[in-house]
Amino acid sequence: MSSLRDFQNAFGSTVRGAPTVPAGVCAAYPIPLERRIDVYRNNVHSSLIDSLEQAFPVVLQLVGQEFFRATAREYLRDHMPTCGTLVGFGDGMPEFLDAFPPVSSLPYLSDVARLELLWLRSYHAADDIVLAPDEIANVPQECLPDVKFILHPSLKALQSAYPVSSIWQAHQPGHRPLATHIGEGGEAVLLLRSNLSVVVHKVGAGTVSFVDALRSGEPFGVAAAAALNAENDFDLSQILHLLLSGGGFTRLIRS
Amino acid sequence: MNKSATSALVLAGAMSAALTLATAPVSAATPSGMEKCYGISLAGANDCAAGPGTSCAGTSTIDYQGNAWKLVPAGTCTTIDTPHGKGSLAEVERP
Repeated sequence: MSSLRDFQNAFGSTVRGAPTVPAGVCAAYPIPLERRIDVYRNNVHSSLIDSLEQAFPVVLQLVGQEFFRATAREYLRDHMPTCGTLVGFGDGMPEFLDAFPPVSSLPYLSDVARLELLWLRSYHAADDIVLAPDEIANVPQECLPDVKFILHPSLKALQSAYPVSSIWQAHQPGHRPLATHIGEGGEAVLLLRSNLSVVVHKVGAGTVSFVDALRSGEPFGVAAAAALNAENDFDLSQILHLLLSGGGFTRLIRS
Repeated sequence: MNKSATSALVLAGAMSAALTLATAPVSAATPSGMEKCYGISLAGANDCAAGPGTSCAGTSTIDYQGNAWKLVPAGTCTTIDTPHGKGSLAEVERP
């Protein structure tokens, strides 16, 4: 006799598309078991596609609902949820879109999906404390370059070769579509949750380098140099102000 | 990666400028860390008090209405791009 776990695994395979129905599943006459399983399977897929529509509302608008749902159905073949919650479901969408031939004429689509994923991760990120300005003010000037800042879990950054920020903004609820020229160069965004809503800031390449360097454990001085290297016009005090007032730092470590 | 570090003096200057801005007093009616930002709100998406012809949250009637505001993280208002220019800390004539 099979265990509950074996049965659930077999039933899961059936729902995902396996043609066999595990022993123990039965259906009342007159509708055949296979047809009832089809209904069950379709409901599971439809609800998951619904959740992908909600996770990627801009991608949905860019390609249209019919195309999006067909794409999402293809995505599900190899990307069924791997845990009991839907937080994180859709994580593989950007890479899937990169390799999905029907959208190869929309090269910016995967970066829009990346931005929407980062928005979700920022939204669902853990709460944390906010670094008090006093703590920074108390660091002697000569020690500043070696200070390491710990970033808030909701702080995310993305550099794209396409104008993802403009595309994303133009597709927010109530927005009028704006003429966006794909060839006009890339854009970068910084995402930070403030009072329970995620704010998407359009930033320069230097800001992304700065945040990436801090995230990888580089000290303040090295991160600032990396930012200036990436962007001549990088305004350190402006981005520090944004991060300090938005709660982007949680702690500092003095070596 | 270039491992050179920006000098302590430059870092201290930028940090003190940022701290000065960050600790600027905010009005008592504004939640801490937020500021009223005019001219960035989409129609119907303003937070409150949109002025003549409207009364409260969600009532602005045109996108980027210059006398409707939204709460945004303090210091970020004037970095927000709209088709009519940056957000403003005071009421503006737009669109």
